Amino acid sequence: MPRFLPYTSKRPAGWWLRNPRYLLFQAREVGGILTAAYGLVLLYQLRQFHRGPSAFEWFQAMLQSPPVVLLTFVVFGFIMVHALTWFQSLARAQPVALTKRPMPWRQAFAVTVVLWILVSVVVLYLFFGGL
Amino acid sequence: MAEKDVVFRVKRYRPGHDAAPHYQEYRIPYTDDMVVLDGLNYIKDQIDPTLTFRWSCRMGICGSCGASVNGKLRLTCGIFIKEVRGRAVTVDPMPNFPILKDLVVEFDDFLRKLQDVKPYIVRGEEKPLAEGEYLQTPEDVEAYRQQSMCINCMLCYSACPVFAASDHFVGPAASALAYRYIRDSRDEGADERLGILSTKTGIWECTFVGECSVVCPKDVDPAGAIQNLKVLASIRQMRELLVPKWARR
Repeated sequence: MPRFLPYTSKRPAGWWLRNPRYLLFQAREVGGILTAAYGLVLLYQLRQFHRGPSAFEWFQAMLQSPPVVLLTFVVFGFIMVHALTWFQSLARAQPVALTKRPMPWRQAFAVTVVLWILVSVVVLYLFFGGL
Repeated sequence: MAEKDVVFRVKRYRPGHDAAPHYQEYRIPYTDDMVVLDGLNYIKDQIDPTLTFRWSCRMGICGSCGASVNGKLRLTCGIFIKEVRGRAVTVDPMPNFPILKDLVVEFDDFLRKLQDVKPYIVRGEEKPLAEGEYLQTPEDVEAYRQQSMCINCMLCYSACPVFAASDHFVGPAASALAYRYIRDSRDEGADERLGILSTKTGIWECTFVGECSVVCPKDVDPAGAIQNLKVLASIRQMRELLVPKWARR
């Protein structure tokens, strides 16, 4: 009797567009890469500062040009998606149990986001002396 | 109850006959109390006996009748025809698995992975029968109750984009069941299981998309179980690195 092989299909290239949660996951991953890339930009800014006032001013002017400002807003959006989806994932998994039973994930998510905002406000205050 | 008509678009594949799967349409009468599985059974009994699909209990316990219904991964016994949105009820076999025939897919790969993670209680040494059973408190049972609900329906594997990209990934259900036994107070196989799971093809491949937990019909939360396994595996690794052998329990 001939052995009939099972049919194996390939995953379509646009699989992540078919489900909003897959799309959000992809945005989270892209946000992670962009976070690392923006860290490199900040390091380069430090290097320009080390090179002297003219190099630093040139870089600052470049950062303030409209296309770069637009790009920065796009990167900021992705980083926000990354941060929020990360806190959401943390709330869903709760690998470190702080309470006897896992907290409802929405509650845990809200707590982490509030803490994140508080820490951000403290950091802004320390660096810029206010918002 | 008034009967209405609905069109079922069912993915068909006959091995050795069809080069690729294709849709076949059936118009059937239905009532509001019919689930998608009832519709498939109507087609098989009344219209086309060659249509092949798995089912058994009809009450969401056996986990046999999983499929993609209008793009959503569901147990076909758990969704009413009247709930399905769209002009037709489109039934596809579960994605990410080889199709054997029509809606029947091959699970051999999962069964091998499940065996690897030892989904049973492992004891170093059994106590004598005369000493009685292994007792557990309600808290002990609660520690693994959620993961013990897994019915091996495989919807989580169908939803997992990591498994779709690399089928050597141990996957959600096998990991959740491994976690279930690790959390069992009677079990002594945690170290062995974590050694098996904490590999390149194990839990570290999971990127926490979380869709496995969304589609799970029994709320097992395999994604959460995998993240917890990552923490346990990290602690185990740190203990091996930092604690001398004689000081480990």
